Amino acid sequence: MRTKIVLLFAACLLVLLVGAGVCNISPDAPPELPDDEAGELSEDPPEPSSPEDGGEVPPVAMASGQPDTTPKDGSAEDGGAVIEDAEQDAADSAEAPAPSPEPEFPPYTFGVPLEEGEPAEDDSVFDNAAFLGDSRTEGFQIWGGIHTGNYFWKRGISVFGVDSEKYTFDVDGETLTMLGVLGKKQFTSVYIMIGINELGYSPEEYEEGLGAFLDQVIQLQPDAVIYLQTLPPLNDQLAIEHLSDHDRNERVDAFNEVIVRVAEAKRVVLLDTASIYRGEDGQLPYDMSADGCHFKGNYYPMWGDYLRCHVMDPARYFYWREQAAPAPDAVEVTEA
Amino acid sequence: MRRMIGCALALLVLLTGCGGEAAYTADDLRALLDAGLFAGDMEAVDSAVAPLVLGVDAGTVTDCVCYMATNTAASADEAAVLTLTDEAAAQAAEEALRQHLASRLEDSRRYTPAAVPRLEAAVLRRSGNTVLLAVGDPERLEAVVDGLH
Repeated sequence: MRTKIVLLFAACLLVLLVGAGVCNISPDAPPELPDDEAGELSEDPPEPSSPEDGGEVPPVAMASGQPDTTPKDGSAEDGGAVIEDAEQDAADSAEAPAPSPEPEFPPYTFGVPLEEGEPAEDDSVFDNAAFLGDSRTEGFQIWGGIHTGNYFWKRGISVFGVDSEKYTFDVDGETLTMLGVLGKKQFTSVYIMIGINELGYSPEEYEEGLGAFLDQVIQLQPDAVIYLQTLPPLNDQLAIEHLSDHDRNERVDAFNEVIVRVAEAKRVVLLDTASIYRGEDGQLPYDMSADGCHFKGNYYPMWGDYLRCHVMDPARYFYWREQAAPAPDAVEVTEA
Repeated sequence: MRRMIGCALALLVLLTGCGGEAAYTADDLRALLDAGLFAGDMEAVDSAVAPLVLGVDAGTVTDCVCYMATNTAASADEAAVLTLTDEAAAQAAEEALRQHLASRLEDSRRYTPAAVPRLEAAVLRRSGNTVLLAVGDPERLEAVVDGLH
């Protein structure tokens, strides 16, 4: 009987001992430490310190995205110092705010031509676009190959005539100026090429007029992606024969510098449409035009192709518009 | 006998009158182009675009052949034959083209004076459910169009 009791007791003791051992035996054994660190860690897991327990308060976390430069005792010989480092690291991670996520949109700098992308799958991307311009835009509508969208062009129109009754459009039975059209209907995107009829003005005058025009377009079309296009060059040889004395590439180049500045200042997309028409000598090639300014019909489709490959994601546009927005003026607080 | 011949002739004239003029076709447009009535490069305009540029209700156009001068700043020359859904649509298109010509003329007085005489002598004709528009040589255009049918 006694023997049975002893055996029973031994069995129970054995079970207890094995059970304790199971807790310590795991199929995922901790990785072996390198030899130089083996045995240097405390057997007790480190616990994060907090101000409440009187532990050392780690320094305030760095601004997001900044590296943590909290000085550490790099000694590996003193196990206590290593514990303190681990505690400080844990505290840092517990209290430091998470770094801001990387922006989800590719960067865009206003005033820089939009980069080329994959061509739009089809022209439906232009269904609710507005194409504003002069006689070059007329040619673009006729021969450019984009048979959708809304075209508002007038021969001879300039930035100074966008609200003039000389240049009106019939929209749903109403006779409207170009600005009137923009105030009547909301578009998804607005493409602007205007300036060739202003070459008789100074670049400064053009800049003032273009800037004012853009201000109104942005105000009237708050949800649209605004594209400002550079002016394709002239062919000076043909221009001498057919156009006015001020219609020369020297002035066109100056106006394109204005367009870049305005695109940056107003935070709209810059499209370098001029680049596809510029020959090696900076001129519109002779055989592309009959009068030095307007393209022959078969040279408009390349303009359409260019637009198809330069479409700005609206979310990306508005994100960077907000990022680039000027800071509000500081409000001066005066004591009573 | 004479009475019978007279009646037959009268009947023939009546039948001819009831048949009306033949509709305008793309061949008529080609004949105008071949007659050398237009200055500069005339290029074909896509049939889906032409009604929009001409100011005609695209929903009523069943066929359209259109040529325009590519040098739009210096030339207002153009020629088009439109086939509409019915005669009422053709009448509306004719009126729309009349307004189109008036707008072109106003623009030309400001910017392309050389095109003014050509626009003033523009030809606009309707036959059945078709309409023909042509702006070209003011001296010869009307006679050539009259000789089409």
